[in-house]
Amino acid sequence: MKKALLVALREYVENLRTKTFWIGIAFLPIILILSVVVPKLLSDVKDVRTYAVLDRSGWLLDEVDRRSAMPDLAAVYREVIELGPDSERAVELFPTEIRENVRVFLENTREFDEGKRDEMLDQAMGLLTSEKVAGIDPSALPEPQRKIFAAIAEYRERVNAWYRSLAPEEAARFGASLDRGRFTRASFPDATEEDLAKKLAAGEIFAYFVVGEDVVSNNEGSHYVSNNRTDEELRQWFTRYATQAIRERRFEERQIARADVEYIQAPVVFSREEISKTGERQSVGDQDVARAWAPVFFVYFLWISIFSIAQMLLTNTIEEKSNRIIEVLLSSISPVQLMSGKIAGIAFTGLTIVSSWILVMFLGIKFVLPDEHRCSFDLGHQGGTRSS
Amino acid sequence: MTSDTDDSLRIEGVTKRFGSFTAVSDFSMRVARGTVCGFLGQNGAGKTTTIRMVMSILYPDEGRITVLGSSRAEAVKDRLGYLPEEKGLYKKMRARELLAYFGRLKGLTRGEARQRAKSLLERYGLGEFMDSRCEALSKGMGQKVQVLGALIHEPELVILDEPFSGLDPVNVELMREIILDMKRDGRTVIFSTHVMEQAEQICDSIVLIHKGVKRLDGPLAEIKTGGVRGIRLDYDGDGALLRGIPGLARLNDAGKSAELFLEEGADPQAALEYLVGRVRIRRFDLREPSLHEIFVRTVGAPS
Repeated sequence: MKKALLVALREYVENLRTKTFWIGIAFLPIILILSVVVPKLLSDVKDVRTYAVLDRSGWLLDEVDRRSAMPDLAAVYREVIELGPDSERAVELFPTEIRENVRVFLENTREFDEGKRDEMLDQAMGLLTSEKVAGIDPSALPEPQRKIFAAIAEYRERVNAWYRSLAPEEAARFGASLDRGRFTRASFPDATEEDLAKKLAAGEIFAYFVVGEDVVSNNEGSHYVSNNRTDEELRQWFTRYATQAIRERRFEERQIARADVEYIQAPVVFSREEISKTGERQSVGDQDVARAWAPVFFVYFLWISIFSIAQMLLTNTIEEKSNRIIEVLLSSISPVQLMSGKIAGIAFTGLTIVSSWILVMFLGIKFVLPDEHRCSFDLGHQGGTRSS
Repeated sequence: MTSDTDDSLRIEGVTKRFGSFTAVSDFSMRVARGTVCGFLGQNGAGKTTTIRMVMSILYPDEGRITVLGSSRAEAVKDRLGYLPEEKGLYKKMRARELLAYFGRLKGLTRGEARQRAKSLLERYGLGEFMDSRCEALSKGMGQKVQVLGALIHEPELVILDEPFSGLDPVNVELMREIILDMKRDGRTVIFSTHVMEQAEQICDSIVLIHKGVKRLDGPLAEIKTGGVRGIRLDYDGDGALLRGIPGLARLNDAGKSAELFLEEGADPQAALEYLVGRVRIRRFDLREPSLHEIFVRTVGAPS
């Protein structure tokens, strides 16, 4: 046993000295960096894309503006809530005339869990950006929600005005992922399409949209013009909100009630349940699912690590066999001790690689991903807010 | 005749087959404690196979091997030292680290192993390469490190398979010194070799194996005494003239020196008279046959 451990220790130390080991260690972080950090960096260095809209329909542009504001405002309010002890400082980033609204929201959502809070946020942002929020009767809501909705109704105009006037560089202080920080609409009230084409050619704008007169019925006269053939983000973003608005008009046109639409579109949901050891049905939460997947991920990591270190095992064994060190070893220990030691050494190496990967993933989730997926406030710029 | 307890190694009627090929056939030998035994034979004679069986790397199909009084070599592995025929080291390991590792595998403590590795390397002129990686050592230095690896645990029986192969004259001398040191320390040494001069100078006894069968076995002095006496000649001149020596039965000519064997009844004085005036004689010595001659006579001319 002692001799097998000596062999294992030597194998482990030798493997640690190989390039293959360090390449194996660096493999996952490099993939993480390539897949997460690089796109984020590329996205951060992209210029704000200024666009113009020639709206011949007379209504679609307002709808797109309203609808596109919702996710941004929801992200900003959510971040204020989730900042916890720093929430009060974050509130100071807002202009004075809407701070009270943010505070009401903050104070009345603390007691809810994340799922409920998100649901309330979606409803509240709908109300904030539109008077037509179907299916919600604020007077029928319980106390905390009613307070929020009342405050939102009161502050709707001011919040909308603030958001619409928010400059891209100012939006960036609320987080790089806000649409407002990526796309900004330039207003040219009396411009013709020829004027917009000239501005595009002169580089004043990144792209322009022309919305056809009868955009609800057909696509005639609707087009997107840009000299950048590869960057599709703006076109897709605008199209998403425009499609939502047009679909709603079409439902109205055919006199299909919103409730009917929601009824038809509602997916079938099979709640997740399982039978416990005592024979009872019980619900399965996301954490339970994650726990069930954990061994699979561990085995997957182990599998990758075994494959990456199999090369080392092969190289070592070939070396020992070809230069007859194996004979010297077998003159000191038994073949069973030799092989068990080698396998243990390789296993320790694999576990080291897997552990380092798990550590890197943990650090990545803790320090990298939050910045990527949530809006992050720049609390160092307090007091610099602009009143509109 | 030696008793069992006086033998470091005793092989009795051992046979080893690889498929239909018999590598070693009914082979027996004894090596007394504290002696140096030369294990001689041509390439493919069965030397390495026999050594591997002694080291329990291979197992005999028939017969019995007793090493240091034990019928199981595994039980006495820590008292054995072994240098295989093909020398190799872990390239990335440092010389001292490697020796200490071999020592620990032989049961030494970490401290003992490191200390002995250091003193051995210093004693045999490798002190300054103690922390060099094995891949940076020359072939001779690497071979020395491997020999020291076989000695670090101060074994009672050391088996060296072709220890002189590939060494330059200086390192051959050093290797001979190492073997004689082991003998002086009372260890038993068995080494296989093709270099008859080395075996002749170092060995107390020899065993000659040919095509898996033992052909000669015994103390070197007895073997040489029992052989046909020959003439050792050192000369300058045309070696072709040596073939005209009257009564010449056999000639081993190395260019500047030669070994002559005369037919039974032939007069060495007549041979000397023939040579005078034909070549310049530096030495003319009637003596026992060399081990080389014994080897060649025993196994026959190489095919």
